[in-house]
Formats: sequence, structure tokens, C-alpha cells
Amino acid sequence: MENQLNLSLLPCPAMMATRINHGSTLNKFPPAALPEQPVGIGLRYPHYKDVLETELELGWLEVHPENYFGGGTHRHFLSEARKKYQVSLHGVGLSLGSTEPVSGAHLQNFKELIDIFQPFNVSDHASWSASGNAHLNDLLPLPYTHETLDALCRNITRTQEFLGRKILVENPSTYVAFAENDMTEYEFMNRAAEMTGCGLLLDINNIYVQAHNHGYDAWDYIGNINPHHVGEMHLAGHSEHNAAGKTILIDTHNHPVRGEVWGLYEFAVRRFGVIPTLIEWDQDFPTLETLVAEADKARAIIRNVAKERLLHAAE
Amino acid sequence: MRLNEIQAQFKDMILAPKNPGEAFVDIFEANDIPLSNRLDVYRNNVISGLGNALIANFPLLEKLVGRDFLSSMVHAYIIAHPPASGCLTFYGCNFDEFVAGFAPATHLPYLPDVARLEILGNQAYHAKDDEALSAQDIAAVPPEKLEYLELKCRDSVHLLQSSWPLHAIRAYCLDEKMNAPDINSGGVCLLIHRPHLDVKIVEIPADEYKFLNGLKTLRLGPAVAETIAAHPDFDFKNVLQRHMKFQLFLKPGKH
Ligand SMILES: [Fe+2]
Repeated sequence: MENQLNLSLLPCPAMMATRINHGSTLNKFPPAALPEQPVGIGLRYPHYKDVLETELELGWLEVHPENYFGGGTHRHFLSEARKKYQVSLHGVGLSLGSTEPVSGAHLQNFKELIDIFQPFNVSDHASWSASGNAHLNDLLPLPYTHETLDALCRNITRTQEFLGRKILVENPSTYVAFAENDMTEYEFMNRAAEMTGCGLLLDINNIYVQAHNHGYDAWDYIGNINPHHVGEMHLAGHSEHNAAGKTILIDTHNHPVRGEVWGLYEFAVRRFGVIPTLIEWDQDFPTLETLVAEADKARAIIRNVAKERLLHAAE
Repeated sequence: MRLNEIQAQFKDMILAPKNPGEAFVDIFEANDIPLSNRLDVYRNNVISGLGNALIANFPLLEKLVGRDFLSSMVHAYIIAHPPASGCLTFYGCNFDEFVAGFAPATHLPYLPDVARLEILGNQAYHAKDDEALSAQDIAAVPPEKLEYLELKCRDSVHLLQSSWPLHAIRAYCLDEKMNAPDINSGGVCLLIHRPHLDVKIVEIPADEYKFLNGLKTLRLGPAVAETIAAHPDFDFKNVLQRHMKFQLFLKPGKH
């Protein structure tokens, strides 16, 4: 037996030639600074190649970390994209609003990605998806009560302690509201930030959807968010659905940003200043040019507001 | 109602489509749109989101049974086995077992093995980026110790033995112009692996299968001995060189 084994495995040139370097995804990227250009886009599978091969005037890219917990193609492309752009990791799977604690395994995977890719922002949502043994893969609604606030803050704190950094928490789109709330949604968001030191990821389209679906004033909502907490903004397209002769807005991320939402964004830029802003598109993907054109619109709004400010200052 | 109870009932509303109880309905604010329409938005989001994610992982099954039939299996699966984690990459890893017990599919006895093949292909696609054992690594092992070498396969490597001609079924699904294979033409051993980014599916002889399977629990010497005992013609030098070329083995110590 031993004889046979001795002979078997001598180095052969063909083997050496096929050896590949796996170093690219194991090495760390340098720590992130805030991107110089404030507007980024969500990086999704259909655009991987285009994003790498095109020179774009883009500030940064955002991805869902859950899609990169494994290795292979997805990690490879994220690695290549990170060489060109700053990234933000926007979680959809922490289920921060569940009464149950955030999963340790999920946090461990998340932390591994943060250590490698050095994102400038890390975020998830003020919503829940896990109950008992089921994780429902959606951003489900929360009643805005003291009990919920405590549960959410416990999980935000656990997450921030585990990851060793501040996270941002995003306001949701919802289709039902609870009859017994102790506070408004904006109060709930402000308080979560005050209690945990987390920042807010303000999704302007979600605010618009909420205002329509639950009958309140989107401008008033934005006017009541404490500017100190806002670390990122999202813009996306929603869709209109007819239900019993009425219109319900659904946060489908499959359209250009609607005109009214651009108006609301301009109002938000006036209030919060230049904040990293993302164009999100998750279904019925357009060409990369369409996405970049949306980002250009956001940049134009930021530029106009800044110009106005300068003019006012000069007067 | 306490938050954990709200979440438990909301989950049941999504997964068990029956009329929610009155106590549950009362926790929501009424508005112009009936509550059932608004709850349906969540039910549809969850079921179609998970359904689309699963269906995308089973293109061979879709080809064999059609989108509608696959959809009905997938929806029944989601209700019976909702995801247990916030990461869906490996969701559906026991779908083959579910298919085996799915009454309307019992007349297609090879379906569970086709599902298994797709599950393993998906697992290989998303497997960890680990490093392959190199020829130099093996050359560095003192000859007298080779026998005791623990050769472990990389995270992407999977073996599948089926009594159905899976390889022919797969080829048929991928190529419209091929004739349907003879389902009773015998079984196959498959090796699924990912040297770098692309997943490879290779038909391997029974002795190679036995050898690689043996390495899961045995050191190199005993694995070779056991294979030769069952397959006297096993040419392990050639086989091992081929496997090294495939980069099947894990570089030790780093992971
Ligand atoms: Fe968003």
C-alpha cells in the first residue's frame, strides 16, 4: 500500500497551472470614508458586468449582505465592484423588530462581510420578519408602542454591540396600521435613534407611501424627523394598486421615482443637507443607464439646493 | 395583544390562509380599503417572493413538470417549511424530500433525485471561497505519512448517487433538440464541484464515487484500500491526479 502511495502525487506542471488565487475575497479593503459623490445605486445581479465595465459618475453602491454570505460568483463581483466604489451593506434579514433576539449566526455572517468589505454604512429596517421557527422574508409592520420600541431597541443594541459599530435603521412602507399606537411613526423612529445611538435611513418613497396609505402628511413627517439622526436616504418607485375602488400604494421598487417623491426629496435635502442617497430598483430591472439617469436627477436636486444656499449666503 | 402574540398570529395569517380570528382583525385600524385586501399584500409578497426564489433554483424541474406544477409543489413546500433564517441562499435544501412525499408527483419517481441535483448545484455555486490543496502541498508530505493523510473535500464538493439516469435527464432538459432519455437505462454517480466560479457536474465511475465518499471518514490509505477491495481495477494514481486537477481537496489548516 505505502509503495503505491509514494509514487502517486508528484507535482505536475498542469496542476500548478490550474492553481487559482482566492486571495481577492479574503483580503480586507481599506476602511471606508463617506463617498465623495453623495448619490449611489443598488447593485443587483443583472448589472454586475455593466457596473464593472462602464465608467460611471456614481458615488457608491449598496447591496443586501444576505446575498453575499456564501462565496462564488456573487462575492467575486462584489469584490471587483468594491475596488471601484465605496459600498453600503443594507440588511433585509436581521428582523430587528421581532420580540426574539437577532440571530447570532446571521450577525456573524454580517460581521464577516463588514470586516472584508469595509462599508461606509450598515443598515436594516424598523420591521420584523421572524416569529417562532419561521423567517418570512418580508418587512412586516410594527405597532408603534412602548413595548415595540423596547423590543426594537434591544435588537438594535445587540446588533451594534456585536458589529462594533453604529447602524442605520430604515422607516418601512406598510399596508396596515395598528389601532393602538402610543406614538407616531416619526416619533418612533426618532426615539429608537435617541435610545440606541443608531442613525436613521430615511426612505423618502416609503414616507410618501405611508402618507398615502394611512392618510397623513409626508412633509409634516419629514419636518418632524430630527436631522441629527439622518445618515442616508433612499429613493425608489412604488406602484399603484386598486383595491375596492381605492388606491393602495405598494413599495415595489420596479419603477422610476415618482414626481411627487422627487418633490419630497428636495424638501428633505433642504432640511437634512447633503446625505448619501440611494436609488433602489429590485424588480423589472431597467438598463444601467436608466438607473444612472435617476441618480443624476438626485444629484441635480442636491446641486440646486446647494446653489440656492450660496446665493442666500451672498445676499 | 402583546407584540409576540401579534407576530405569531400575523405569521399564521400568512402561512395558513384561513379567515383570521376576530381578535386579530381588531388590532388593525380600519380605513377605506378592506383589511383583507391589505393583508393580502403581505401574503402575496411573502408567498410569491419565496416562491420565485425557489422556482429559480429548480430550472430542470420546471422543464420536466412545467411552471404551474412546480409552482404548486413550491407553494405547498413554503407553507410546510417556511425559511428558518433571514438568508435565503440555502433555502429549500430539503425540497427533494418534500417532492418525494408530494402525492401528485409520485408517478414521476425520478423527480426527487433531479431536485437533489439542483440543490447540490446551488450549494456548490454559493459554497465558501476556500483554497484548494496544491500539488506542492502533497509533495511536501513525507512519503511514509501519505497513507495517513486526511484529504478533505472543499465546501463546494458534493456527491450524488442515483438509480435514475440523472446526467441524461439533465442533458435533455438543457437541450431542446435531444430525445427524451430512457428513464430505465440505469443509474449514475455524479460529482458536483466548483473549482473557481463555475459549477461543474461530472459523471464518475462507481469506484471514484466510493473513494471520494470514503474520504469523508477515512484517511487516504484506508480509503484507497476499501475502494480496491470493492473495485479491484481501481486506478487510484490516475484518479487522484484527476481529482487534483479538479481542485477537489481543501488546503488544510487555513479554514
Ligand atoms: Fe429603502
